[in-house]
Amino acid sequence: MRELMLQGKIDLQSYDKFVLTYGIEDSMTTRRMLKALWSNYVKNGGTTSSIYWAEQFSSPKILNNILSQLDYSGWINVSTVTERHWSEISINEDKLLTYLSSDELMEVRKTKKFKQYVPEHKLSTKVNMTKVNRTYKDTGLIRIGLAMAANTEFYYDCALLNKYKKEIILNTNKGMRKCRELLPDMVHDSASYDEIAVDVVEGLAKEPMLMTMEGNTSDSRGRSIKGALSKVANPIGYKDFRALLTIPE
Amino acid sequence: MRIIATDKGQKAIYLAIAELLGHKGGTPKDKVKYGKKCHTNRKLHNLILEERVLTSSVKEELLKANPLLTTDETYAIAERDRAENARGELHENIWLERLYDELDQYAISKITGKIFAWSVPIELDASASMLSYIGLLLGEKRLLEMTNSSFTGTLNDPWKVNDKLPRKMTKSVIMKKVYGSSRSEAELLKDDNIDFTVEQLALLREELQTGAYGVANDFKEFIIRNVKPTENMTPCVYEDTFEVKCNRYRNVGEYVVPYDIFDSQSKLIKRIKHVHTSKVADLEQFRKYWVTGLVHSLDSQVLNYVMEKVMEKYGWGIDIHDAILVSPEAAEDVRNWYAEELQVIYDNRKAILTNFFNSIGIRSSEAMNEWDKLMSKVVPVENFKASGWTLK
Repeated sequence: MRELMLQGKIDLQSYDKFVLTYGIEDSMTTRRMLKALWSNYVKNGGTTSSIYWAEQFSSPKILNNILSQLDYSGWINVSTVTERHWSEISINEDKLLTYLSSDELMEVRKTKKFKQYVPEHKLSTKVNMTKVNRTYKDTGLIRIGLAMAANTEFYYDCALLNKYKKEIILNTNKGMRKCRELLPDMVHDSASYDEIAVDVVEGLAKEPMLMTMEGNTSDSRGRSIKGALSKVANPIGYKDFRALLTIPE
Repeated sequence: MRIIATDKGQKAIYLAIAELLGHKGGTPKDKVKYGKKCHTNRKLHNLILEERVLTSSVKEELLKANPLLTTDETYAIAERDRAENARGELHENIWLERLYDELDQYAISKITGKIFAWSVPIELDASASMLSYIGLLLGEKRLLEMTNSSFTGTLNDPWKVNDKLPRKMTKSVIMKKVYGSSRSEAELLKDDNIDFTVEQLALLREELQTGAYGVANDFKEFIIRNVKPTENMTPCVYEDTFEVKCNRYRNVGEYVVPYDIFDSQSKLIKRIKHVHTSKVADLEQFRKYWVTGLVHSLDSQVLNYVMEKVMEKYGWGIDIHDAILVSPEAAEDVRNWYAEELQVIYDNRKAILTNFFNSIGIRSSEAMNEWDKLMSKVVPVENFKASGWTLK
């Protein structure tokens, strides 16, 4: 498990025993639940709604058996408050700390989040995918030209990026700064989005890095949604980076 | 992927420089001249990017911009906002600095005879594409001219129609209204933190009821009123026929579901009652989808064709909805290809509208009177020839 966690992953221990006891469907749901809890933990140490997961398992009895088993083995913590009509599940950090040190755990969170937000060089040939309510399907829209453009390679002008790095970082984190003003209690640690964004910009400023727009999907009307849109410092969402675009030789 | 620099690319860069520095009117020749002059002077926006110490002269300057400032705290906030706004324009200075360097290198290459290829792309941005496409579909002269889709010899700013209305104000209201917003003009301006007078509000209303903006707004209203929305639809827009599911929902009630869930602290199973909301497709709200459903589908098809040509000939380009980032050398071709596509839309406008209206349930028998009324406000364009100058 330690090796897996150092890679930023987690999996259900004794999966085979779960299958024997609860069947394949509920075991797979348990695996998904644990991965979702881990993902929320990495994101911001957050929790997930038990009600959502109650709907995913085949029966309340199985749900509670599994929750109680994972609680007994120290993996999760379930907080069910009758008065508030609320129940949430979180991964138990103490359990994670039995595999990794506190510093290692923070490093895993930072690395995983960095990978999530750093622009990449990805090529794609898909031309017919439309984003519909967080999923992708073929609705009949085909965008060959927009998909070709998503494979365009570029890098950023490091000299100018370094010249204005301080201001560019302020611009990159403008939204987060406003969020923190509105929500002063929002979690802030070295794996927070704004810290990761600084790391991404610092990384891009070091040396030219070849990137693409990471694939193209359509919105419901046919307009383009480039894969790189979810990345920090992408040239569509961040105008400073648009101005730093460089065509490779 | 870099394209060898020629005077054609140089001209495109001069135009881009002028655009970055806010040069809107005049002829393309004037714009090139202005860009060239800016290069000579290495003109940049005058930006103070840092938050300054609040000295008496800084305070005086801030007070001029906002006479309501009183306490040190309000001055500090004003200075912070000023610096933030300045940083919001930083990208234009970065781009300008890089383009000036490119032009310098090109000039040197001409002297030394060494080959130079452009490494900095430029952005070609469509002028108020929503108004342009509605203009094409209706054959509306004023909309086509104000968006430079029909070129009159001088370049127009689609958001500058009245000296008393700042372009920021017109753009804020007209764009959102034509996109389907039902909020009032005053609400839209407040959303964007734009100060306005009663007189300006009246002028905006007048623009929305009469003139070219009025026609665009009436076209939107025509679609919203006459579409027959269903939960799943198959619109036909120009060359695309695709599926769309209603994306708006409304609550029609609540129901309580009890859940028995384990609790770690007590090690007991506790009962909670969770309130779920019942939602159904909001077909009334879904009516507003179809104006952008039509225009964005059209502009994405146009951009798709143009990008295919860009990638085949130049191997480098990034599309951003109704804007394109390309090598300066490709700019002239891109403007021509874009114009060719606009011409096809204009030439086929009747078939495009008929097919679209049929596919979303607008029947001519029911909507004919309203359509005739709308078309009576249209100033028809004659001998239309689409222009690439609509890409700024």
